[in-house]
Amino acid sequence: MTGTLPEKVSREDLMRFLDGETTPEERAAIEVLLETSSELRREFAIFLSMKKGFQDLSLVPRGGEESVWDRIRSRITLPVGWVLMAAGAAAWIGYGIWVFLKSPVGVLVRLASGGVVIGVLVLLANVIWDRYKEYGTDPYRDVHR
Amino acid sequence: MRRDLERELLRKCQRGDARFFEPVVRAYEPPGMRIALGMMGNIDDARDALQDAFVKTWQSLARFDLKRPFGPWFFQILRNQCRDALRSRQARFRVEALDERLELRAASPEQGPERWRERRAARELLWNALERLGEDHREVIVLKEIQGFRYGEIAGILNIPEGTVASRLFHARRALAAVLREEAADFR
Repeated sequence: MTGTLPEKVSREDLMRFLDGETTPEERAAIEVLLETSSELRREFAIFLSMKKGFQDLSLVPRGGEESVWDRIRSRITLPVGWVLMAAGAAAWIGYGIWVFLKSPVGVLVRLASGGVVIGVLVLLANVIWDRYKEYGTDPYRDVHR
Repeated sequence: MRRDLERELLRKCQRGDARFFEPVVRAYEPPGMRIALGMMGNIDDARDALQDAFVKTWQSLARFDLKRPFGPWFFQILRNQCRDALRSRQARFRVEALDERLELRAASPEQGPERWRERRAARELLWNALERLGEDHREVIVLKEIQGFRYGEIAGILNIPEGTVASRLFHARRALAAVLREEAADFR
């Protein structure tokens, strides 16, 4: 539509008219058509009624809902923390093993100490793995106290 | 948020400083929440989708061209996130009762209680009818009627021509009217 009066209004033009996206000339032309066609007027009235209904739907969460920022921050900064912690832990473990191997203690003491340390690490890894698996399926993970 | 300020914040974010992402998140959270709520139907799934969309935005920021406007790009990511979530087994569109956690726009004081009740019933009908619309129809209705974007903005977010936006809106509104007719013959 470009200023001339169309014989029939298109669906697109009717929508643009309803949503205030037409030029003044197009608007005037559609208004004339609305006056002459009762069928068009009826359909337009239904669309307008729904539009007004949506204007009352603000869809805002009630007060007290926390911002999503805290959770986003923990998700986008978490990898840096994990990388630093893992790198530090790896360095300490490497240093510990080197000191342990170079120490002048007997083989039996080395085996016993190694068994205790490896056992603790395996248990810790099991606990972390179980918690990780649980977190993925826990339906209450977002519930705050 | 001013465009130049937003661009500056995003430039700092691209260098990896997450502190500058906070004002961006806070500026886009309210419209993002409205879109996600309209798409997902309930606060919990909407919040999850919004969070995931912001995280994906952060992860893709290095590829973002600062000469382009940020809003349409972010809303495109959010829209894709909502659609992915709806297709996954973890979420589905389920409407939350308006009374529970969603605030309604205040009725104007000159309206009487009768009129207020009528409008409230109409709002609830509309909200519940969204559940029965297909994804394509629902998203265009949400972007136009709930968020109030203009056709050009919707076209940018959905990556379709403006004429298609108008056409899709027509079909979406017709589908919605049909659902409403089924649910309440006396809808005004």
